Amino acid sequence: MKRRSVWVVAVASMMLLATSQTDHAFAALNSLTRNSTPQGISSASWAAVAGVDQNVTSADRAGSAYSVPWTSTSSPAPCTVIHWALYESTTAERFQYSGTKVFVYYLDPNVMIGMPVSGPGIVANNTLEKIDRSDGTIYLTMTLGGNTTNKGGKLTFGVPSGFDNSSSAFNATTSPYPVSPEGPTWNSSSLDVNDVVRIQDSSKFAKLNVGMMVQEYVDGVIGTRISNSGVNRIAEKLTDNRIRLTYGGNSTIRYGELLFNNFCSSSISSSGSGSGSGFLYLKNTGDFTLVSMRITQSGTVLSGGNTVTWSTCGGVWTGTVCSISPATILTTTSSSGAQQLSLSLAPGGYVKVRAVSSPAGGLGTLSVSVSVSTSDLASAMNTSA
Amino acid sequence: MSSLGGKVVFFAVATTIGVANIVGSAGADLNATAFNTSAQALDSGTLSLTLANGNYGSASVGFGSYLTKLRPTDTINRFVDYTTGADMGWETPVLAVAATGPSGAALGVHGILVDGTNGLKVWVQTCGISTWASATTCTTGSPLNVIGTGAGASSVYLSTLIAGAQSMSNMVGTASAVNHLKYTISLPDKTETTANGNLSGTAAAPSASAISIQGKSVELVWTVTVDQTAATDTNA
Repeated sequence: MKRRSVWVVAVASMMLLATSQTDHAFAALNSLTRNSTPQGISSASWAAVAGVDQNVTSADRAGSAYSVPWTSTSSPAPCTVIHWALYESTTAERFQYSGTKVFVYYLDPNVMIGMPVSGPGIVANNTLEKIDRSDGTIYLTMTLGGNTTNKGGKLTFGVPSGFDNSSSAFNATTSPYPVSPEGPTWNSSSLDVNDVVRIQDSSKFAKLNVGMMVQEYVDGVIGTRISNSGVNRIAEKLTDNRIRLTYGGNSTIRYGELLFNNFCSSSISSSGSGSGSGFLYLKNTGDFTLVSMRITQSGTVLSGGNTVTWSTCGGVWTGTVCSISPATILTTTSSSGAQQLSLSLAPGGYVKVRAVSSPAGGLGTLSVSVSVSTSDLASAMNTSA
Repeated sequence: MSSLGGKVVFFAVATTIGVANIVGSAGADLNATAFNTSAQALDSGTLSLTLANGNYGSASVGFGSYLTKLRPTDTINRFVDYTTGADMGWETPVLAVAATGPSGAALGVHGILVDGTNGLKVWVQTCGISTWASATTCTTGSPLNVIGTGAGASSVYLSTLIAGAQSMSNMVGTASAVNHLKYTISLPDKTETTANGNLSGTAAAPSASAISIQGKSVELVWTVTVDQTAATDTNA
């Protein structure tokens, strides 16, 4: 009985073996291999924002434009349509000699050294030479002497009357009396927009603003020999007390006086009280170097025909003064819209920008939006490792 | 010898069946056995394919490195070697990809990195059993396409390899062969604008937006599967 069982097991084993061999003809080994540590891949982000300092992040902005704190930076109105009267002295005495002290009814803060002074019998081309504000009066001397005839006349000086909201065109009859810097010297007599002129008096130069109207003043007469029919404007303030005019210099004379009026062209409609400025930071908050970005500005600072100019400083901003290599990087008007700004910033990099509005408007608002697109990134990589 | 052995076995089986019948019907029996006194040695082969970092004139980091901060149109090359074991060859190689990554918006949805429109693409080339002399040239011959036919538009979206394994061309499946492959991984061009820190037109940072390619991450496992070559009967 035991032996019979052995043989049954043997037969079953043989049959099983035959079955397995048959199946093997249709089966196959396969093998696979894979990286045991997953390959990690991440994508970058790109963004730039404007903010109050270099620590600003994208989360800080969260889609919001940056509102630049704005301050008035210029007391004399470079662009005014306010109707101002001339100022008169109260003194009715002879102005026979230089150094005569004169009292006035009201000492306007806009009255500046260099303003032409006129009056009965006053020597031509006379200017206000000194101001003493210590006692609330004015103390002035006549550069070329006083009244040659009598002491009964009153002096007039100051910014012109006759200009208002509806008329800002120059009117020689109403006699503008703005700053008259001594002895400006053109670098060239050619009619070249790159011509510059140096203002010898630093204090007067400091009071000039981009956008101020400039007129020729020779021998007491406002002429037309300066470019643009005698009416020009300050386009740029340069180093070493030099200015560049919008329409170039003087086409016929190399030396002469310039008048810097406190009024603007007829496009100005606001009643600003001076130019303004503000500082902001632009920061690359993304992962890649940016080669450009788009800037959109809005706000009342841009109203009234104002221009907002951005500048960077190769050195250090001290107040409103750049220690070295100031550079204009963007100029915006109310109609500029989004503008491409070519500015390279490494990841995490930032730059401090000074924004100045001129010629109108002191206080106001300025909102800055910054957008970055794929095309603003530095070149794509093709690397092997 | 093998043929004779087969006959002996067959005879033994037939005899056994006959004897079994006899045993079932009679009480007395005779039997005989025959067997080879030296055991027949048999062993099975191993189908083996292993992955290692490659070389392109310099040692490659292979798949182990973290590819960080890709931007659209960026291209990254990685070199790996697939070595076949000495026992047997293979055929029908296929490549598949498995992708995992954060799925919550707060972590940056990774899906767009592997979708079929904006996601990553791959182009795989081989120098065959030759090696890479540089990132673009072989020591012998020219690179051949394995997956995809070129960079950019001619590459294959990872989504295709995730959906199903794809056949690999120009692979050498003989035993002991080493296939030197180059994986060119790229991110297609896509224009996105970030305005004041948020994805333009949305109220979300790009990394938190499912429709943005920015700030996403994914982990990939590249799997090559091969089958043994067809079985062959041999007589000896």
